[in-house]
Amino acid sequence: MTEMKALEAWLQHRERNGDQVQERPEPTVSYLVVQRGERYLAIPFANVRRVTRLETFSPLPGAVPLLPGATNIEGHVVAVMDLAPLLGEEVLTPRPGLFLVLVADQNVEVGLLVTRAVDVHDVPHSALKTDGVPAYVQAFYGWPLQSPTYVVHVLDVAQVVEAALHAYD
Amino acid sequence: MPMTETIWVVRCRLPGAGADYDVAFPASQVHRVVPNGHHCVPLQEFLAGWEIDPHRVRWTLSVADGEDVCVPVAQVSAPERIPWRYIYPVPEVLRSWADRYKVVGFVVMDNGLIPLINLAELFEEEAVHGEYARNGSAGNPGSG
Repeated sequence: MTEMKALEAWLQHRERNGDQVQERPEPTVSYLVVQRGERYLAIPFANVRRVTRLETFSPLPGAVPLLPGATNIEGHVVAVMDLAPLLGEEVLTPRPGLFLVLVADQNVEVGLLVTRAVDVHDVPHSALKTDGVPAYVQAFYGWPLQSPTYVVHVLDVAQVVEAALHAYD
Repeated sequence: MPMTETIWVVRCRLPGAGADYDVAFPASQVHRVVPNGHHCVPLQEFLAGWEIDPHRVRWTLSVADGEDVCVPVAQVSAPERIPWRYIYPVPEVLRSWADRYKVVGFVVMDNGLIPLINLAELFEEEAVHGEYARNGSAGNPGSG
């Protein structure tokens, strides 16, 4: 079959079946869901470099609450970040057993201290709601992770990294 | 600091009010270590952010010959030779913190990260901007 005939056949097929173009599924974004204290946070998976248990922690003298110390991950010094000042919540005291989520924006890395890593979920854009929450934290409600429904806050990693970079300004 | 393959460091424990902090100084920049009670002027600007507990100061590190400027510490180790490859760079988000305290990197010791502080640079800044420059008044934090 020549190319022209194939095209004609395709056009006839389309004419017979009308313009029934199948709707594409809504694009989704993958999130790593973590728990920090009582709060669930969703971190865009594209920003996640690594998830590990916090094995050692070195407090830094003169440090600000947002960046209380550092840890060594396979020969790399990683600044440990506690989101407490950003979220207005209680400090999460670094201790072995907690998890560290290494996130990056523009190749600037920071380790977020969390209670545990929950799962990875693909979430459609329409599930996101951004009203009435701080600029660095967007929220979407009613996302049924489990029953009963949890409220999960999506973290804007770019803003989080920016806050870390200016922690000592 | 000259970049050689290794660096001799002195590890110290600073008695913080809330927690103790281990830090390291280049041994070449520590003039001498003397028991507390020695008359000296502590690096005030530097220590202000570290909340040193004066009652637990056991030793003072003299910074330079002829200058009665010191760092009060609770413990001090014998100099240790560390290969530079074991001194890890400061991550980007801690750069401002490191600039403030003249931290040139982290020494990995006992599974922890110990800030390596350029004491000479700290002293220079203190001499220009700090308490020592302002009035030169002597006062040992542990002598009272």
